[in-house]
Amino acid sequence: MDTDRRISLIPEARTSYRTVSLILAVIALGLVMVQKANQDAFHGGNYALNLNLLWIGLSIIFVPVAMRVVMREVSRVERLGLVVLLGVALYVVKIQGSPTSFTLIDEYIHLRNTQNILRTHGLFGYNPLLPASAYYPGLAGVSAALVSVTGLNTFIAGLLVIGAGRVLISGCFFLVSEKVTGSARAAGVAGLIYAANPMFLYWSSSFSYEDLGLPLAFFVVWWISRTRRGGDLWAQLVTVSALAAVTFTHHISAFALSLLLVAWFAVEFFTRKANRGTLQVGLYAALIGTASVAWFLLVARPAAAYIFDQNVLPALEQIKTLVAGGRATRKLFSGGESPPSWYMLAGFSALGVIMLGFPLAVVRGWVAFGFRRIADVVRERPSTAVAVLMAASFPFTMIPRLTSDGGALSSRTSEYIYTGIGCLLGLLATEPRWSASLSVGKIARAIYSLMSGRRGNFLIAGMLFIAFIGNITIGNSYFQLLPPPLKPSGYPWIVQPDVIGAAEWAHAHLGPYEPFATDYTDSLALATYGSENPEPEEKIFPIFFDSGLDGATAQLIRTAKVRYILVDWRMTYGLPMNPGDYYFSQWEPSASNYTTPFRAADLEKFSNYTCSHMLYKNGPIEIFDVTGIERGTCVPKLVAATRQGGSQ
Amino acid sequence: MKSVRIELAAMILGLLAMGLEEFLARGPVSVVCGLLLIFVLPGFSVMRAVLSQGNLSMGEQALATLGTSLAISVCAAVFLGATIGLTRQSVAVLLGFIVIAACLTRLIRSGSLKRRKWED
Repeated sequence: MDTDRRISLIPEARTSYRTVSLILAVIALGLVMVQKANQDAFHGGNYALNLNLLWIGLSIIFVPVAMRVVMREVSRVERLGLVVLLGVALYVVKIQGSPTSFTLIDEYIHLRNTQNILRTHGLFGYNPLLPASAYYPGLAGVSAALVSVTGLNTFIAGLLVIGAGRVLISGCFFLVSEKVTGSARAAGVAGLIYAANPMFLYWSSSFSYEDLGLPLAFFVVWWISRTRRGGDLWAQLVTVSALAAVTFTHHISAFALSLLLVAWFAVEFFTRKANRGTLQVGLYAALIGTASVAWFLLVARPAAAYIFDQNVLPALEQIKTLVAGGRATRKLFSGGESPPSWYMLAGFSALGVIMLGFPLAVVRGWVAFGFRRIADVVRERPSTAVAVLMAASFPFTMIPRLTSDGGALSSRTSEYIYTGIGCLLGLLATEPRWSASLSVGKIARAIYSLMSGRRGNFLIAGMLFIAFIGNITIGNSYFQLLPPPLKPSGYPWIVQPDVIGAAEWAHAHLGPYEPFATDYTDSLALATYGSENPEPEEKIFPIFFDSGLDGATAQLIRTAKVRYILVDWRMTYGLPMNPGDYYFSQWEPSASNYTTPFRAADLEKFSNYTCSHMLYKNGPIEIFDVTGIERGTCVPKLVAATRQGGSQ
Repeated sequence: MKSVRIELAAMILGLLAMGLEEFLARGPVSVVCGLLLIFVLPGFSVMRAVLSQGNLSMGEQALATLGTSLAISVCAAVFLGATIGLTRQSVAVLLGFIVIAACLTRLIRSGSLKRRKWED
């Protein structure tokens, strides 16, 4: 990467602290508006109005940074600082949405891992929410370490660790893309494009192992590019420890990093004479490749089933059917009722702007670097060639979104593909470094001129803004951009305080690690606040989809070894609003097709049969003891039938 | 001389961290020490052992410090969890030891550490 053709430096502008302070003040104003929107939503205010306030707040945060970063006379330090500042500001937006506890599904998974380490002081404790995640203990380990040495609670510790990761990813991506594009201004644009990816605002801010693994991977790429020529043993030790940290933290990040290093090595090796730096990259590629595969196959064995059997293979199967002419199995913009038309239009606009930007950026970069042939690109700027190839795969990563099993897969590729997209679209802001005559065609010259001067600044900033707003609509359900009200009217999509109370009661009175059956959202609270072991929903959901507790239902309770059942009557109040639209599992009978809430008769059975004893009741939350059924010592009978039989 | 003072200060903080369990009750001081131990000290001391001054800009140094600290803290946590157990004491001792070792390396090398310019 750092052997790309040298480009002479343009004079460095001075940092304008006054401008940065002004931008900081404007960002603070934006955050105040976001806070107001969240608080009002939490207290039951008008959702659409509060959403408008949220959009205004986000725009106020993004636009000044974008306008400043695309300007010419801005110092490198200021651009770097602004990109990091934007990343941190958007992280604060996520915290404002859930300021007192974790709310996203993956956060509970890793909270349980952290709790296991704090409880046992060891690794690989059983995690009922996602067993495979326990075998990548990097995030949980460092969070547990932070809790141990500071005494902070796990929520605050988790926020700090992911916050550190956010600073790292924003800063390191700027530095890497600066080398790829050869320009700090282009790197600033690349950083803004990356901050505009659909997952950046909420998903990439969550307490999840990818949100530590990916920043560490970005750090590795930058550190290798910085030290591979003149670095000493200590520099190499830093690289090795960072590679190990990525391996321990997240599988896909480790695989992606090894692929990137292999591509980097291959491009340099085959286009120019290999030097010590090239060989070092090859060595690190071999190291991370071997380590990540070995860890995956030898230590994290459940991860293979999770990644391939539960995610990749089903998605590929559905994609194959779709490509062969089958119907799409997933509704776009799903998650509750249909969002307004403008929401979907914004998403498509973002895609359109990004795709439109591709040829413009290629032409701009071609003219700016003075290339004559494609071979020039590979020989003189191999890292740029790799970035272009990554960006070119973007349209194909959209196809899985049309399938129910591929939607999540497609979403998560954004965090990787947008590194290439960012570097490519950053070329929109490149400038020629020499005064060679531009011997290019009229169209190329016209495109080049379009992106120049003050008009070019506005155009680039406008494209960035459309991409930012539109990608938020792609990456997030319309009804989940703001927190639900304190007392939700229907079935809530996040864990409620009364369920947390029930989970804590269960921990205190029933003991930890008891097998439970419940709906998916409430299982998150049971597994973390209660330290219980909710059984996988795809296994136990039939227990709830029957009006009787005898027969097949009792048999399932026995085979699944369920001892307790948590019933949430809010399932009967409203439709499920999580992406995928289900209460328990995507395999339940009416998943994605609910038109009416869950049947009350199916929940009444737990009170209407013998062998099911209510232990706890608080509002809509009930806990039943079905240990007798699980052990086979009690045969459930309808209470009315029992009374009738007894009276005879 | 200034360089030696920096190393000595880092070593003192490292020693303080190692004594976290014994001497520091949980409170604001413990929080600050713990945050420095996880996010700053390991990376800062290792960076000073790696580099001569002036190779990285301030922003790059800050990112390098943070990234290295996180990487070392992750590796330390996994190592402890897989071996003797991850506790307050074990984390503090191991990370404190790494800080002190890096500082000593810097002090030993500072006599022979030549200014290096890495090519960009």
